[in-house]
Amino acid sequence: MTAIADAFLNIRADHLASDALFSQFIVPPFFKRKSIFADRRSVRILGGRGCGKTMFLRYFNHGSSLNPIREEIPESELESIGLYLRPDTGFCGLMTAPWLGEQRAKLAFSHYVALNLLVDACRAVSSINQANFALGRLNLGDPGLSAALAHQLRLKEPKVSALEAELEMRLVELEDWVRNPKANAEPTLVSFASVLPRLAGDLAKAHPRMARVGFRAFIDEFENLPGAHREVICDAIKHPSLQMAVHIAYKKHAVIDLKTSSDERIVEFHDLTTIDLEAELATGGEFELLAAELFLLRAHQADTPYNCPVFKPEKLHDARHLEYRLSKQYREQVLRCVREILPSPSATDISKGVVADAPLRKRLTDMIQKGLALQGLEGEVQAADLIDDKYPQASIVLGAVLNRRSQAKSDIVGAYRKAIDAGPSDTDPFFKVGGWIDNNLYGSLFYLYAGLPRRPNVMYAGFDRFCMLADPNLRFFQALCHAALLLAFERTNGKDMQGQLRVDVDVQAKAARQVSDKIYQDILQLGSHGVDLLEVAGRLGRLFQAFNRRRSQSEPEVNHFSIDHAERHQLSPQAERILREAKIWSVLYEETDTKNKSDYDIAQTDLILNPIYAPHFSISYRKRRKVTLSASHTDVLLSKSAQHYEAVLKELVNFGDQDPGQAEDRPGLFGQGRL
Amino acid sequence: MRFLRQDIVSEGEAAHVGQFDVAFFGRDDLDDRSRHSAALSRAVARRHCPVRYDAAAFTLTVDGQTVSVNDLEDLFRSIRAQSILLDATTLEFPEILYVLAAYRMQSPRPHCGFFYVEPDGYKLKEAGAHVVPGSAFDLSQGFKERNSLPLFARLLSDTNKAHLIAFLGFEGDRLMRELDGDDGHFYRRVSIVFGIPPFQPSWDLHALMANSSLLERQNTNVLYCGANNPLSAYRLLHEAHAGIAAGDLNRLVVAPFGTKPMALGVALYCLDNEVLSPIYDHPVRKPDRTFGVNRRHWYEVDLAR
Repeated sequence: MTAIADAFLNIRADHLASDALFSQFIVPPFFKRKSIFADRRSVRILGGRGCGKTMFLRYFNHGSSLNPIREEIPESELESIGLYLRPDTGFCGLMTAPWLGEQRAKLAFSHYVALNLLVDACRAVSSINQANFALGRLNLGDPGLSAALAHQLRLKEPKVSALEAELEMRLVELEDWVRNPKANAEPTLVSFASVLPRLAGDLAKAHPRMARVGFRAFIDEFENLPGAHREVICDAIKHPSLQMAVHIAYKKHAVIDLKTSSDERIVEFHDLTTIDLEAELATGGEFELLAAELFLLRAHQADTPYNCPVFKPEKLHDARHLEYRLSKQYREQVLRCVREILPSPSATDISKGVVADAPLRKRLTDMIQKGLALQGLEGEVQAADLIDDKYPQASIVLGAVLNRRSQAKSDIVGAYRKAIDAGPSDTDPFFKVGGWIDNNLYGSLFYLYAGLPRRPNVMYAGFDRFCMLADPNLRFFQALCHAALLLAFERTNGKDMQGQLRVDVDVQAKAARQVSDKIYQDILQLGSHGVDLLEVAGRLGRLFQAFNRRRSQSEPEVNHFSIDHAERHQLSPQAERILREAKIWSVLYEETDTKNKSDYDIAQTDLILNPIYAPHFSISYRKRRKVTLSASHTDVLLSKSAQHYEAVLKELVNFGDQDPGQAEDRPGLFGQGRL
Repeated sequence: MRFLRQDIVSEGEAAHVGQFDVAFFGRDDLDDRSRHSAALSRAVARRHCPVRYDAAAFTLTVDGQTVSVNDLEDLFRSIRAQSILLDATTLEFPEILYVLAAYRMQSPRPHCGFFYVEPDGYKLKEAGAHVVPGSAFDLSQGFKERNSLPLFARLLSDTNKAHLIAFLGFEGDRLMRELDGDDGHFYRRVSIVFGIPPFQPSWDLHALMANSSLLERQNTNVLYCGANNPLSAYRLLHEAHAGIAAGDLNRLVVAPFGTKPMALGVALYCLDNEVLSPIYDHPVRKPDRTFGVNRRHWYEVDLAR
């Protein structure tokens, strides 16, 4: 029996056996839209941490694609049998020029890749023997190998079984020689780009149905390989063989140059194509469907009852069923089911909650009172009298509008009273489309909640909001669900859940904060510049917090910044380096601005703080407004001292209508004292 | 390997630990205790040799002479010694490991002594910096990408998974970065080791706080080893070694990210046991990362046994 929350524990592809991986993988909708490994060209798979890159690669590995639980496997699978290698990048660091000499180091790495792929290829023969092909079983037995291959690898007999038995010994020889080349003999080194096609050629003779057999080798963690090793892989991409295509996976932005040994470059379209997993997942609401299906799959695995007859877990793992899953009816029903489990309160509901909750109502009253003082109306009207329980969203927005100096001459209170007396209309400034409520309600709610940091901020509650916080990172989504279900149901077993599964919005909000805090802390461990990235995220968060503390909310929901393209080149090399690191680790996302206000605006680059950090800073997760920074300000934010940053912060957000900031928590038991 | 002595010594006693042929020391201008410890080491040795390991070139530079780690015998051939003293305060883990590995090849093996000097305290991050558990102290400018230590590194693979034993200190990101990079692929089991009893009351809590997220991690067990006790670290590794399972989980990887005495125990165990594969992230230490000078530790081992 599984506790429902445990079903959402972080499941990593590396922990899963091939059988389990096949039944955990949800074929993403973009398989329908995009041809995936349709031709023999190499593919680079890009994706940030946690977006499912390894899961994706291993789905195409023979252990999954030829898995015995899969039915009706097409013969075409034999033309490109997936092999997977995740190099031990630490040990590979010894196969470099300073330790082994330039040429030997490259040969050693190619040998290392060859041995590992051969190990997987031998396993692939077992997978073929057990696979349920549409044309029936294909028993290869113990296929024979050519004398050439047997000689190259010093096999006792030319058989796959002999190859499998010898490979471990060849790996030990390689390991011993690499770690201590003086004390151990250099093994006979083979090139993976020649030995794998040779094996494919031998297997092609094992059975008529194998005539077109070929491999596709997936090399994971490409970004962590030294340059010389990347060149070895790129050589094979540049000069592909008919029997083997080489695909690589790495974090976006982490590899700038795909160079071969001979100074040639890998050319997009000509030599390889790209699958950008994050961009694909973020397309057209597909992340929501995938997230909803993931939720129901996990609930199903924990034997938790849910009401969604259209959802069939067994249809998630094979692209053949995509048509079924992409129907409008299926999408609506699956999303509706998960939205009922993780309900999202509307902004109007949240507004009603604000006026019904004494501390939040008091905060709203104070906000209005300060606005009345600004407008010189304190003696004439009482703030408390202006809060309307029927139209709380108007009262909340009133608090912000009253705090604007630009509104000093207009009769805001009169307009407000008219609006709530007459009820919402398309003409009053509060309720009309594009009016004050449309533009300011979210910002004002974030402002109110930010002042009460211990109160669960329900602005982060709900399936759709979880998706907005996590998109395109399924690991984050899973962490949000895990925390919410753990808080709601503790260790209750899925089977013992009674009635409609539903997580209270306050509990969801608490979970969002917990997860966001944890993921913010984890920035420290991202790559070798984690400390710098943590500082940058903290500085940006504080900047946006400062904007959010403005009572006027005249620029609500500022949560990203931009740099003019013209100024971009003025960034210091250190700032550029940190910016690149931040993008590699998805602390920041970069987008080209598509919403410039006029034709003559200068092109800008938007830099968005990952929305998963929004609950940690009590700021908006919606991409609404930005602050445009000069290169010198950006430089300070990214790479200068805390004192420089404080000065810039004051310069950027010294508006005079801010609430004082919260005292910053300083973790550690004993504060700043001498140890 | 035999541990002969593990003592706390006064400054006066430190001057009478014996006469050594050579003292090896690392960066002696980093902070108060580095200056003090290197001076103590030099005071009891006839020859003084600064040591620097270059992780990119896999070379060791000793007293101006650069040798490849592949040619360590050149070291003892050019600097012969019947007794050597290593200043563990200033030498980094790879430097201790390779100097000992070199002299272990010499016949007869020399007598070895080690100084380690505790600081009064560690420098905290500047006010206004963004701090989370694990980043409270301002100790390192950064870390180099992990690369393996030749002669000792072992290859990990699908059929050779590892039990990782990590000795932990105040910088919580060091092990998390390693685990995050591995992503559960090669490290099947993880043991984390805290320095308890600590050098000073409350320092164990700083290490626990800095690494608190590891305590919530699945498949992770927690062990303890005296912060100033190389023998305890050595014995802990011995027990872990005995517990290695047959089958796929057949490698033992150790991360000496804790106190230097623990790292010394690790280095000594590595010399005796080929199975152990040490990993290191080569921190770039910040100047004045610690302040003051507290207790002095003196260790002696017999490499011959």
